[in-house]
Amino acid sequence: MKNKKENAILKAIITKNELGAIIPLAIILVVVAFGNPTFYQLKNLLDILRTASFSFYIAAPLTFLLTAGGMDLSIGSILSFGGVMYAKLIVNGVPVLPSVVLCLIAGALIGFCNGIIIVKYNQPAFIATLGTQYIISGAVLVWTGGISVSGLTAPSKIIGQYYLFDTVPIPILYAVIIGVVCYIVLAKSKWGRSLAAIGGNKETAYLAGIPVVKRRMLIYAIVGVAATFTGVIWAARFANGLPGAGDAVNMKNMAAVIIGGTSPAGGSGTVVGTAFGCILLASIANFLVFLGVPATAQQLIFGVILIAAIFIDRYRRDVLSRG
Amino acid sequence: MKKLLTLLLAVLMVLCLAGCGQKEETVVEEEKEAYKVWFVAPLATGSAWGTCGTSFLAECEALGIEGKYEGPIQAADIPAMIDLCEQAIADGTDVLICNWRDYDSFNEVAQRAKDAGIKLLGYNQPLNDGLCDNYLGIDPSKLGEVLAETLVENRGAEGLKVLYLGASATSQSHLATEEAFKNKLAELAPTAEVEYDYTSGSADTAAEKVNSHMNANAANAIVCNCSFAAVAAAAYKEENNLTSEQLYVQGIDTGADILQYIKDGVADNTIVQDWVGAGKMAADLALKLINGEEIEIQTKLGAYPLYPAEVEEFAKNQGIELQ
Repeated sequence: MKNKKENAILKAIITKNELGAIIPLAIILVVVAFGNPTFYQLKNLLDILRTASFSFYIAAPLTFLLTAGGMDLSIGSILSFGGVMYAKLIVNGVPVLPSVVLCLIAGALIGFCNGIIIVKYNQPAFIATLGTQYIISGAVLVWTGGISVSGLTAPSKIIGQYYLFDTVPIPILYAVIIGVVCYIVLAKSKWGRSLAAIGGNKETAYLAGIPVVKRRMLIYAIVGVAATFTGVIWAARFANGLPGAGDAVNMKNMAAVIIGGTSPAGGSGTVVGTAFGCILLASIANFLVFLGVPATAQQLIFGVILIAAIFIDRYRRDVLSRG
Repeated sequence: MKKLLTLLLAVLMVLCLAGCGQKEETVVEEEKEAYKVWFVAPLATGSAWGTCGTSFLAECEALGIEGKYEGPIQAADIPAMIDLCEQAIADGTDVLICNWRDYDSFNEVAQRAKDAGIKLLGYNQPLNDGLCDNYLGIDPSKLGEVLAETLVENRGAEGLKVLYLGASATSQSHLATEEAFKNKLAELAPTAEVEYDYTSGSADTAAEKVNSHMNANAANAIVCNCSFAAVAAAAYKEENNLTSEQLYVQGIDTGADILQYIKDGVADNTIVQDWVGAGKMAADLALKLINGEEIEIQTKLGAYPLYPAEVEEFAKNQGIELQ
């Protein structure tokens, strides 16, 4: 009887998609508690959450995209574009709100172009978005000459630098809002469930009456909006539009989504898991510094933790498939 | 038949005339063809290398040289830089200027360029085996000494807790700078505690590293040898409302972003490496090499601190707009 109950609890845990991110995160939190408890100071935890928030703005809609069987390698360059565009608009006297709106519209258009190339013209997403990544990065370089755009006004920086109750960085609030909305859409709505159907099998989804083309194109546009939003908040936080701000984010965001339990082959996804994936990645770098790991060894350990995370996810899937 | 023959002859004559005319044009074009100079940088963007590139290309245009300024997408991606050197050879460049970051890796491609009659110019690093025809740039070891001297002169030697943020843990010039900094600081401030870390040339990583280190082991001085680190350190100081007594920030280079932070009283100073002068001098030296002029091989560009009182004048002279 006791064994049956234990098995049921174990099965309930194993079925959680988010396990691949949660277990390594829990291990890190335990290890660092012994290694350097100052890790747990509120300011540090909020800094980790802020770092994770910047990844999460893109990773959350990216979860939709991966669930629907898509991928996007142009997010980093769209992020850079968004930051540069925001800085340019502000420096040229455009007020904050119109600047943000214009950037988001531009992001939607870029994402929509990705959608047209991939969905309408049936081109492989990997190559198509790699191509648009080069186009956008190139355009940003031509536009700026490779030099950052500084001189943002005080009001334009508030959206990235403000602290709620003098404690919580405002980027975390955006992440919470985005997280709640994306969670409801993906897990609780018919629209969200249709994405899993599209990612599982496009033909079957089409035959079931789901507007596959429209829906896939819309997701690319949403990812574009999210990437420019991240760029805008990034530029506001650092008071700069950096042409290379998004250079390192592509793989990191993709990794956060997959470690969080979203299938890279499409068909299933979890926004909660993505949130844990983002927190895990933000925590690893921080935790290594707190443990005093030399900078030269940090990448090595970072890699080992990532591999452990995917093996945990693999183990979970194997257990599930065996019933 | 006669008419047909006349017509054929007329067509032939027109074609011959057109051919002769075209040949004449080609000759004229050949005469007008400009010298080609390729500059392969470790990054084509950012406040340091981006500024250098803009200045280099402007000077090339002024001198009537066809200048190309290229860099990999990921900072200091050596295989990508070697590929660009290969392209320069294939393009028939007259001079190849390169930041030879790793002597062994670049030796083979440099030797082939030399065999093809291309003049070689080392930027910041001379290539070994006497392959380079000339060398310009900042002496990495001298830069390291300037970083340490400026720190101690402005912050004092007592109770120093320093975070040194470099761009790369693999670049020989960066490591030479770090080593020189370490030695000079040990001489000037023997009790100073120093932590070393790297940004990998990523703005995102720079921000993460600054936050993690400051939360783990609050430094009272951040010394930057990466322009992204300088921006991240200044942003951290501004966000946390820290005074210079609490956190001294020593930037690097003269991008508009760090100059703005100095003008605003956030960053304490920056170490000028004169990237505008560097780009200009690279083009000037290339032309001298092409013309076979005798040039003394030497490091001509200095590194010196720039303080708030001088920043507006400096920016004005460099054509940088500050708010």
